[in-house]
Amino acid sequence: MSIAQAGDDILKIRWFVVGICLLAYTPLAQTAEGESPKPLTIAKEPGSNFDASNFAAGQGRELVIANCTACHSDKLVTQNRSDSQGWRELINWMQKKQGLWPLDPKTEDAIVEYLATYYGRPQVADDTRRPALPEHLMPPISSSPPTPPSPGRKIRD
Amino acid sequence: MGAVLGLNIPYARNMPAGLIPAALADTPEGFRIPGKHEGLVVLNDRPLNAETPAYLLNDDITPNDRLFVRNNGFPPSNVDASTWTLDIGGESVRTAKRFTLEELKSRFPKQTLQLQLECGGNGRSEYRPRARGNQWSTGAVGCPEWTGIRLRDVLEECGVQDSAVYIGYQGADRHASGDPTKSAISRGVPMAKALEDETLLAFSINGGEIPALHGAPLRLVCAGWPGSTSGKWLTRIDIRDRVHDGTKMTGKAYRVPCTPVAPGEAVDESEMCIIESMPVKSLITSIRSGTVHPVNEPIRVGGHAWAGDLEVRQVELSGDFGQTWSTCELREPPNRLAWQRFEGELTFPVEGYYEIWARATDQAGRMQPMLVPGWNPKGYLNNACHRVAVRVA
Ligand code: HEC
Repeated sequence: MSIAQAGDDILKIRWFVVGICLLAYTPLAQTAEGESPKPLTIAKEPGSNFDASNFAAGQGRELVIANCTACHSDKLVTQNRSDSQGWRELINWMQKKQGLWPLDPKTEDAIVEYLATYYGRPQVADDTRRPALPEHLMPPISSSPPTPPSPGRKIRD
Repeated sequence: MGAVLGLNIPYARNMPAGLIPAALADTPEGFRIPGKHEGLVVLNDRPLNAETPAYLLNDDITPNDRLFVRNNGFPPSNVDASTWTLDIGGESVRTAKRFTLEELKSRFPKQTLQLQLECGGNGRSEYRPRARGNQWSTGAVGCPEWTGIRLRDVLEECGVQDSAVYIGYQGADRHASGDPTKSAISRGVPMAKALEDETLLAFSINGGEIPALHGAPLRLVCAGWPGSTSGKWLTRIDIRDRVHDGTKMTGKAYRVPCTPVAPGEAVDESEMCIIESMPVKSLITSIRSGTVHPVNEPIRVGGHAWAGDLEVRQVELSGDFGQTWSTCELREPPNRLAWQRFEGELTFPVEGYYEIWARATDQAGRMQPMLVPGWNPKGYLNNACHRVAVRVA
């Protein structure tokens, strides 16, 4: 199988996920209210050691998984930080330009609230014109013993 | 399947058929992009976006396995080079034509050039307030050797009318939503850039086939401009009588405020201008940030510098947070629009924490800033000087 075919599979899965979101979880994808939403189990087989996504645990997580991981992975979302207004603008941009389906106001509010809570602007002042080098690029604090930077660090922040 | 995807997934047998790619999102540590060095940092696995740590970019000619990946959508499947065609059309073409890949390769003179590609958003992660999108640090850049033909030769074979303003490309990649009516990306460049000697229709990289992720079997290379102008999986180029208005040409994509704004300031879309040449920049690649180095022992500091459409005139190094600078040896580029090698040396007589900073100046006298430059809503064009941390002991 080529990479491109793997991409094809991804496409199929995406539609599969969209299907699940729209059919099996229609109430979940469309409303923030109602019974406590069942967690999405589609990507989690019994015995497997991965979860449906890396989103932080918290109220609204399932709505975000259902509405925000069909086209791209959670990582495009969790790399970002913004306040409620910024997240709302992003959702509106995705609806206008990227084909994100309409969300009823309650669902949109719940998603925005979740994102602004767990992927919000930092509480401490973060208005620097040049951040310090990130931790994974720093040398050891004390000069002895010299430890090499940890290898294979894939995800920052 | 794990092997096919280049992954090590011990629990693959537990997965429902066809779900492995979705699971990639959850296994960043085990995620290895086929054909790529394991040190690449995956920013997003779907669509795939990955950058190369600076210390892995030391080669003068970037090997395929170390070239960053920026995908806006999904690469096409079932690419068959033997049936691949490129259409040339648009309002300002004299005669619209279709070429097979074989015709392109055999009818036009071949060019081999070392050309640098940098994502317009390289460095985005340093902007405050944060700019949305993939949070690139320094690694969305590379300078492989491309073989192809001049775009100009093909456009002139079809005829360019006086009304021509811009070219716009179409590729075979698919929008992330799966909606076939949406395009993932369709950008372009003004005619002057399109007709330059170095603007290539490339079918080969580093002497071999272009990897699927990088646009096989045919892509544009518009070096020195945002990487997004170098369209992949090319199927069509239009000679437009207006500024191309394809996906990611409009709105805020690949645009910056026409006049500078304060950090975080709201900017209307009508006040955003298209990015053209990328700014002067450099990268220290010979030492890995975070290393420990002995007192009084000279450190060789090498790397690359580039300056969009221009050449780099000078590269300087500082080991004392910008108080003093020493000029490096700087090589000529092997050809226009290739990055240039620099080499220098620093010695630290006193132990402590230091940062080595590199600062390049282009031939017009513009220099890399030490602070992050003008804030812009989408976080493009951060060319602040590169910093490498060293403990001297
Ligand atoms: C119908 C498809 C689709 C859905 C559903 C979707 N997105 Fe996106 N999103 C996109 C596309 C396409 C991009 C652009 C990807 C690129 O250029 O790399 C994008 C980009 C983003 C970005 C990066 C911003 C930027 O400017 O590039 C963020 C953050 C994001 N999406 C968050 C979300 C959130 C939060 C949700 C759920 C409310 C969501 N997405 C649902 C298609 C979608």
